Amino acid sequence: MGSYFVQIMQGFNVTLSVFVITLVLSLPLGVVVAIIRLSKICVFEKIAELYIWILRGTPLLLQIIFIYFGLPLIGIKFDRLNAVYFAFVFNYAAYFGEIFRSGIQSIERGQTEAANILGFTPFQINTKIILPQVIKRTLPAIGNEVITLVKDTSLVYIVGASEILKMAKGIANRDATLVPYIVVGVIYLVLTYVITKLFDKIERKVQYDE
Amino acid sequence: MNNNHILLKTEGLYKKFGENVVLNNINFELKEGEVVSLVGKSGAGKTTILRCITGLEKPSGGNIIVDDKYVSKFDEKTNTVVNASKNELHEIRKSLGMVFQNYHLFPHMTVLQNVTLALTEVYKMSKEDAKEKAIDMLKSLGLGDKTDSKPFSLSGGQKQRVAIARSCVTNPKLLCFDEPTAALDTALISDIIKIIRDFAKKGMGILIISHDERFVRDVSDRILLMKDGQIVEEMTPSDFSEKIRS
Repeated sequence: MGSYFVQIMQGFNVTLSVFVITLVLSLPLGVVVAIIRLSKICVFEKIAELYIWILRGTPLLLQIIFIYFGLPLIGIKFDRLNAVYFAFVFNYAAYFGEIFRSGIQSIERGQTEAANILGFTPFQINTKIILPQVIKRTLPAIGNEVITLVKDTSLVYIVGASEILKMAKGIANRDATLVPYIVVGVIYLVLTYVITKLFDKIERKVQYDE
Repeated sequence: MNNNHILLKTEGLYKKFGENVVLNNINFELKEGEVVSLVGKSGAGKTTILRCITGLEKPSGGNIIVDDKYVSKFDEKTNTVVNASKNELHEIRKSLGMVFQNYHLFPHMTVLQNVTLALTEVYKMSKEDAKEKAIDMLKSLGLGDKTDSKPFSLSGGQKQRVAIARSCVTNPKLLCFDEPTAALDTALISDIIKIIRDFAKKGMGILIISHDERFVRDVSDRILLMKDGQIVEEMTPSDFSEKIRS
């Protein structure tokens, strides 16, 4: 079982890099999506809506296949991991964008008005007054997405990248045993456990009663 | 101090939302040290006046002058209202304070942070000076022991006093109140009357919107009765007293 673990963990680099790169890029991109979606400029708003509809309305697996296998047919080629990063980042930015949008809209207008009269600049209002409240309100929903992301990294198998589930499947086929599946399942559970605890901690830190 | 300095003046203030006229030819003044109340039924346009004065709403016509600066000015040549630019409004708002009906305290900050934030961010005061000033202000309003509390844990009356401290710590010349007694019981109403009168004694101009007749009678120097977007009557507290009794 120990040797299975070591073999499976050879795929951990890929799993981890998809997870980290997606998170680091899609969170700020999600803020941008939310801001465009909330902009009062109709064209931008519609574009953001269309973007969110397409990216949330089709399977992530299809998006990966489209970018890696589809786009080369019209001459746009990515190497396999870049294709995966692209699909994941744009897909997750759509979800995060909607979470941030709902968070921003949930802050009552009076907060901004009170701050305006106190003389704060729009930048100060957004960073000191709105953002901390949006983070607090959206954190549970973001935590959900992050846990989904851990499990979604397994979709990378479709482009032939060797992440942990693909490694486990290879070993299981080779040795005719189901143990690797159990091992890889435990690895996912440990990862999601750590993330759950981490989010609990952050939530407690930003917690205040309303 | 020159007690006749006019802090607020509206001239022919006019506002419509779509085709619906909510303010029609509003003319009044407010001087230093004066407490003026606007009374009238809901929908008479009281809140819209406050929102226009504080720059939250753009008037459709007329002039608003706060502390000798135009918040908005009607240009007869072009027949349009010219509103203060962002920078001008920023300056004008340094003379203005506003205590909202729902207070709108910042829920993620302590009472002290609520009061110091404008001092450190807008007035660039040092953290220590801001803290000292805020604590003095909170103590004078009987909130000396609440500095580290979050707004959630306060009673309605305490929240209101934090909102007053937050507005007054920057020494505005004109302080506006939107329905200040809406959430207060009788004992707290006499406290707020005392607080407002004390501010007025120091020269602050106070504009109050309320439909609480007894409160208005006890706190005001002058009372303006509004009906359907117009000021229909100006009264002294004793006139008003007669009127509400009859």
